[in-house]
Amino acid sequence: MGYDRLLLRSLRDVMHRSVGELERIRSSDPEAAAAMRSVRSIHDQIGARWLPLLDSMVACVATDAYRPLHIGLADLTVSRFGVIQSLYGWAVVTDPLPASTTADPARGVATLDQAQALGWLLSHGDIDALVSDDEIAWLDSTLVEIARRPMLADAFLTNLTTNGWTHLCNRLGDDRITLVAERTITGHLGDPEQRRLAGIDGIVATLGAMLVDDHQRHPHANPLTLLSDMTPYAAASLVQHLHLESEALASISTTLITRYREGGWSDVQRPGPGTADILIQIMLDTPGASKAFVMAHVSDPAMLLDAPHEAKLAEQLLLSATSHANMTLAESAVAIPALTRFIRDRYNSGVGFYGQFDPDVTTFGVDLIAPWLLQFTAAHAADWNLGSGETARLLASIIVDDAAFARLMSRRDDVAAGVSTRLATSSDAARHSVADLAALVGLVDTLARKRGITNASEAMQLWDTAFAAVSTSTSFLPGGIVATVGTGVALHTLRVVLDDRGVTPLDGPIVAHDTLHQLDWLTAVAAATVVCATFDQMVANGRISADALAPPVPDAQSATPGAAYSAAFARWLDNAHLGDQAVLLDDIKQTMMSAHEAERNATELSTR
Amino acid sequence: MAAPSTVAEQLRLRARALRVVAQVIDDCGAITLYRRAGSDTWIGPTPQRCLDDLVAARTQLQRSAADLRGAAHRLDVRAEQTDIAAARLLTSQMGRL
Repeated sequence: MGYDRLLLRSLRDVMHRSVGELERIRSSDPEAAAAMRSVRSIHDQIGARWLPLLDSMVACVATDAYRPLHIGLADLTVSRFGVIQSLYGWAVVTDPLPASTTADPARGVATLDQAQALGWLLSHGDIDALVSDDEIAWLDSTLVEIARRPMLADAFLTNLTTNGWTHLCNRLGDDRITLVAERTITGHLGDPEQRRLAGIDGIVATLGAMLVDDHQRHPHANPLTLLSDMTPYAAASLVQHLHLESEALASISTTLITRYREGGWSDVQRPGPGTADILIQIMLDTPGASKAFVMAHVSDPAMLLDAPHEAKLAEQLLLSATSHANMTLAESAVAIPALTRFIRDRYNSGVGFYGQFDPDVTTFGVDLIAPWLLQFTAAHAADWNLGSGETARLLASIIVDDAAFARLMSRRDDVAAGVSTRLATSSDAARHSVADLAALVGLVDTLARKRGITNASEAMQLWDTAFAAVSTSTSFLPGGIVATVGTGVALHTLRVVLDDRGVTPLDGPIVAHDTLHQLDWLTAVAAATVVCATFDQMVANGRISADALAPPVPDAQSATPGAAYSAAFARWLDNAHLGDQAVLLDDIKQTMMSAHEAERNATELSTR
Repeated sequence: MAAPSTVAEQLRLRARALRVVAQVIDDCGAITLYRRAGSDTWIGPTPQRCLDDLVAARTQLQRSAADLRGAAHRLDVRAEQTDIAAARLLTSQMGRL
């Protein structure tokens, strides 16, 4: 308990007079009975309870109830007493009532003077000596109360200087780094350490919330200016709670990661999430921030890839930013080639920041390009203003081994989604759809030939990849086909053929000896699927008679299924009497087969 | 006009007395005592409880003063009604004469 001697004496004197006044208030009128009872009650309460207390204090009775104390500025939990004693010369004595008896849950225990004193002490005290476990817990709960009441928050923030912010957040950040590192290494924390970590996180969250509220009340206040002198880790921890817009978040992340990369910080090479990990996670959780950050650092992707302790986090950010959902074709023209080159060079050098090396860099490279595989085809080289040779070289620099190729095949859903997105956003989807599909199947075909499929599982993946693209793309084919594969008459026939073969094109033992057959079969089925889907739609639209001869399906028994299908298709066109529709169907078939056939011819020529 | 009845006079006197008591309460130092018991003067659990009690006392005293004024008003109304009743009675007696 602390008090100003003169003011306390004045209070005592006025209270004496007031008690006398209350005693003299009398009325015998029955209408005044209730009021008189109240007056008596108040008289008794003040006269019997508070007046003796003040009398005893003013009389300076040295008893056990009022032991003089020297608080100083070394304990946050009694900061309000320390500040009034040190700065204003107040007397501080022990309080005869325990604190819990006056804690009013509705009002809280934080007061204006306490908020002021706390802000002052955090700014001017020796912060290194101030934050014991008890102080952390007390600071956590007290700040919550202060933050809840704008008047107290204003008082606290007014007294907390920029240096105070820096010292407090740096101290908490360094503590957190140590605790998290211990948890990461040992796999657990003791109860006191867990409580301390939770307290630190709570304090930082409340400080962030107070800054956000303060910015809403005072829009001219820019909370980001407080971050400039903090350690990158402390600043990143606070940024978590500032709810910044995507551009502002990307900008401050750039600033903090740039400073972090200068080195020398507590979290460098410490286990657990570091500065960049925290910032990347925030950007992943903030719509638009990933792309804003990536586009700002396309020329120096090391800003992202070398900074976090967890490489996967950076890769996740890049993949999120470069997904079709977040990136336009024009933006991809800037980002994807540049990132691909960086990954290629990284793979070749094998050296990362602080000697880190990510052995999965090629896997990540494949994940990066999978949604944009269509743009790597010769037909789409113009999308990125690159020559066809350049896109091929870039692709080859990522698909460097069997593992990379297998990875690409495993990402077939991304590949198919990329084709679908391209078609859905095209102004002339129907015209482009077949050509795009053919280009993609041809590209997969080319990659497969270069790798040399030698086992059934890879053959199955290859098949699935091409067929995923075909199936996904059928809704964009001429005539606005909405049917899924296998619903129309022609498609049903094809489906029966596929089912007869167990969908898988060839059995394992055979495929090892007949890769070309495998690829031939794949392309023929892809072409037949598109043709059959289009045919079924034409029948449904009345453009072709329901009695018309259905298109052929590939012959699984043929030694050259592609050539056999082409011949069967030509005969069918001659006999089906389809009129103008025959031209369109022939175009579709030729487009689907041409990339494959050209590639097949090249392969056969090269092997002669 | 009829002269005030003795009963009405008594009611008005009571009302006046209640208003005087209400004013005394309003002027009592206990009403503003809480202003001197804030954190400018002393802080701690006990001072906080004292401040809370004084704020509650202020509210209770103000309510008592308001109740007294309400009671005074009711007495004045009753006095007025008594005067009117007496006047009617007087008029009626004069009519019979």
